[in-house]
Amino acid sequence: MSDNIPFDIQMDIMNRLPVKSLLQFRTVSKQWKFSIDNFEFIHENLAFRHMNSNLNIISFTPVASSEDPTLLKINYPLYGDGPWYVSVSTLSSRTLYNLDYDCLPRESIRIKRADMPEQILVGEFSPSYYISQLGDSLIISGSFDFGNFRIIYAWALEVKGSCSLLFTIPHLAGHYLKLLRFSKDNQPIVEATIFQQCFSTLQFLMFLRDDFEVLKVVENSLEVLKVLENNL
Amino acid sequence: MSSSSSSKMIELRSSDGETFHVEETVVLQSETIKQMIDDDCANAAIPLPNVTSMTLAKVIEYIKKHAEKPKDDDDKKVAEEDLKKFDAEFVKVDQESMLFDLVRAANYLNIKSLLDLTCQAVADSIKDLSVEEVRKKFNIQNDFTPEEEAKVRKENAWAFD
Repeated sequence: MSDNIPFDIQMDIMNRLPVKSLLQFRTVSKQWKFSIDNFEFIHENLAFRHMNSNLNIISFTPVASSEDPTLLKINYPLYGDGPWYVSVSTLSSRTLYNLDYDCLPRESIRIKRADMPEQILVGEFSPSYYISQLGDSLIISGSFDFGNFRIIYAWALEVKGSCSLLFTIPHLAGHYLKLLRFSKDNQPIVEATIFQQCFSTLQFLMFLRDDFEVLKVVENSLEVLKVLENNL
Repeated sequence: MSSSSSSKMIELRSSDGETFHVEETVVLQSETIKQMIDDDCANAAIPLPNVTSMTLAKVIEYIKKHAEKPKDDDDKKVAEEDLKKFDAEFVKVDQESMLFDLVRAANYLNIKSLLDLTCQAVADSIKDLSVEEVRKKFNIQNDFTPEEEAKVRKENAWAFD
């Protein structure tokens, strides 16, 4: 065994490989696959580029793939102008790989949506997000905590590959938000779950006149609703 | 290079019994050997049972070069360039097994810069290889069933237009 390179050194070598090679080398052995799938090491391997942006959002772009819908996740800094990077994920593996800067996709991106369920939760890594279809577009939506707010966001990904931010709307902290669909006049309808100690409340919200209005409340307690209404 | 008259010489013995005399200031780049010297274990020849004479000669060539001190700032720039060139040439070894031997030696002797250099060289040399070739290089047994392997390969299907 002394002829072999110790595994921690093998990992050091892996750490220096481009992501494309790493993805291929997942089939070298189970140990290699495990390491490549679970390492944080790709983070260290990134070619970071700084971007002056206050965009505190995470976006996802589907990429062409013969087998499996593939997503690009563009990780923007949450605070100020920290580094941003792009990771790639497939719906079946639900594992993210960060890409080298030179692996970033070119402008044209095809979307393959075969066998795409109506809405899918990609949530095994944080933060979770939903992918749903709206006409010819894929909608990527999710929510995250930011300061005293819970922000819900949605991106529309057109078939031709453009990716545009539909909205980011701040809402009360502590609500778990999920984009359900859009109303006839294209306003988002959102489900909000409010977790309390002994029960949870489900609200359906619609975005009107710069704020959410409650459409319907399910399984609520009157007291909770009052508190919420006062806050809204 | 500075005069060596004041520097203590350390004797290293390779796995095949060859001895090498190197200045203490030079071998201190090896954390492993530094530890032995600190622990006062370096009075006799230091045995290096994991390193062959061929590999050890290469390692000593490397640490000697990296121990050279530039005289002034102008010299420093030249020296840095020179060192870069040296490093690039150093990892161009005829036999690839030598590169792997150097990785192991750098790891055993705990010479971080040499480990970095050689690991990078190995990564560069394997990045375009097939999975089978990588297994061979690292002497790794394929422990996937054909079905498992096909499944993992399928997960990798990703392409940009």
